[in-house]
Amino acid sequence: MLTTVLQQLLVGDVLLATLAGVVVGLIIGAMPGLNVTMAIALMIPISLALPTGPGIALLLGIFVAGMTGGAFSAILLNIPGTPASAATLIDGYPLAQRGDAGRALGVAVASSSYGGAVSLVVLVLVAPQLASVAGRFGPPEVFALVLLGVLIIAGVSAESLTKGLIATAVGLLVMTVGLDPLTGTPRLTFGIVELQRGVSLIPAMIGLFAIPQVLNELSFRKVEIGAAVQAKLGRMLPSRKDIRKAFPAMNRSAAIGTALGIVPGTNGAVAAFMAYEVSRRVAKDSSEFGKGDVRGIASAEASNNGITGGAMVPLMTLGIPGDNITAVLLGALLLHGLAPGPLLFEESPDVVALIFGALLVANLFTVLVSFLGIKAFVKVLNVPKHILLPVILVLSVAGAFAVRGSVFDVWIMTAFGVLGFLMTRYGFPIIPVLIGIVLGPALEGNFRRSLVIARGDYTVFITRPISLTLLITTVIVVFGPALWRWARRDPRITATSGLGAPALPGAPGAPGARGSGPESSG
Amino acid sequence: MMRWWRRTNSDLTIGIGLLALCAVTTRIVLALPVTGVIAGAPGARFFPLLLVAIIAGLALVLCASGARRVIAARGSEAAAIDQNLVSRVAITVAAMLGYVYLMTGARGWLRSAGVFVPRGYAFTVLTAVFLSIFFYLGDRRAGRSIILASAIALTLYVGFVAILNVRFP
Repeated sequence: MLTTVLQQLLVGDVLLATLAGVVVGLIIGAMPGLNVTMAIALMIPISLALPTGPGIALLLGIFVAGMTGGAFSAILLNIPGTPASAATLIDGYPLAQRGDAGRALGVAVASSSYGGAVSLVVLVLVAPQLASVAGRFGPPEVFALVLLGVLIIAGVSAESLTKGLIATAVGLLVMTVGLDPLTGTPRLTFGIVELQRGVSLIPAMIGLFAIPQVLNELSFRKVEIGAAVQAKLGRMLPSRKDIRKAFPAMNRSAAIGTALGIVPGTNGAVAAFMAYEVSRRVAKDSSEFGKGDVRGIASAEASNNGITGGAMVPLMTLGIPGDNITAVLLGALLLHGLAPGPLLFEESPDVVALIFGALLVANLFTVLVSFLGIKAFVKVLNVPKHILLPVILVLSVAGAFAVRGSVFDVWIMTAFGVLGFLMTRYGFPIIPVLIGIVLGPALEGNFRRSLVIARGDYTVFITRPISLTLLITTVIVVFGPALWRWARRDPRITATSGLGAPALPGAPGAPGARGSGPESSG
Repeated sequence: MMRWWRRTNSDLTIGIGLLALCAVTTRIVLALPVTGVIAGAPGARFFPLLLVAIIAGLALVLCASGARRVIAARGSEAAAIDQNLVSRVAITVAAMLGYVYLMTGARGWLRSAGVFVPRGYAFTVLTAVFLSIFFYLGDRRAGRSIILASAIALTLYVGFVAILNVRFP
């Protein structure tokens, strides 16, 4: 495995693409209001213009570095660059105000990369084992597994379970547009020839994640970043004393982030706040937390980057994205002709090695580029939004058009953009729509294949033990909390719409979601 | 009154809209021809109809909770809505659609310009789009804006077309 990883990495293009991805990720992550999901969606057309290896490395570079980039604005501007870095500002900004901005950034970058490296080790150790188990699944088990993944995302991504489920069902319905894969019957194509191929994934992704971001920013009166960076950077490398103090928190938080990342539906913001709280509680002296304690910064950053490797586990082994960024990555891998899941390990071990290697190199590059280029990133933070937003708009149109040279794709992108904006405006999560579109074919295909095998007997899903276990897990995990509250007549159910479910930080309707555009963990 | 209605009834309105969408989709799906039936497998209509039924059920739940909120909110003061929101978003969407139209479907003298100077035309349109958005967002420094818009348009165009070989519309 190690030899294959090295072979994949020693290709200059892959290293260069990873570096480019890291730079883009750090910049986009640092910009308040822009997020990693959007950056990856916008970069997919460019990644498709590259060979598979560099193309995937580019996107993974953005994924890893974007998480770290969010800390820059959190520490320097007191505005989290991404929802995942919201916990970083609790201690990062006070430290910067004391004239130690460089020290805060240094601890943030070191912890972030450490968290990413720990999660990568877990990914390398766990993923092949899990893939070998999942490789024995038949169509009923795969259907139950995909259903679990789809519904978990629906359950946790919105304040209201009803709205999450509606968004998922809409995504699945969109997926049915085009020729039926089994019978070749055109479905919901309205006689439009272009729709017979189905709804293109790239325009849909760009529309869902980039356009609502722009429209959301424009819907606020003030589009300029309010505060220019004033803090003095000072020394950037963390001191030995800082590292010694923060190291236990880094370890604990990296483990929390990785573990949460493996669970589909959680995101970097949840991991960061949970790790921060755990570190505060277990600290012997917690009086400095909230006033510029390096342990607070380390906890938030190690955990939110720990998500990266963790979220890749279900993506690579089961083909189920762990969060919204990996949902877009799943789409990108499919467009590159790869099918994440247990077969990926058997059929494309070189791609698996490439992903492992690119994640490792991206973490190393993130440290290097952050330390060397911090002054440039600070300058980027001062770029006004009235310049950035039109650039994103044009990149969106160009990206949607570029892949197939089709103007129809631009209209698809526009339609999804407006849909995404309206959804965020009215508290509907966007990510289940994408999950529905991406995982829909697997859901429908395995459902129908199961019935063909069982000669139309619908009990096939509950007579096989793994499938039954997965279906029961789905009911408990997704509907359990809402049904429990309903049974106890929790007043929150009447206060919110439909079956209530607690919103994750970063989800629409959740604190901090406003202004950060489509829900995102990064 | 109108603002209060929009604020408190959004779920109800969306629920009713979804029900209407379900009705239309059901009609379209039921009109699909039944071809290539495979033994045991549900046909092409099954999955869309199942999804429409699920959406309709959830839309009813949304309507019910929306109605409950209307009753609960009656008499209370609705929160203020950004008056400019609708117009700002509408203008941005219109600018985007206008941009797509200019690039793809324009006729007359705009079309002629596109035929005679394709690259210059695309560049000019791109610059104009940037300029109008800068202006719309409140930047009134004309000289600086023109230079900036041209520079960004040029960078994007060269970056995509010359370096990455990705075509622009």
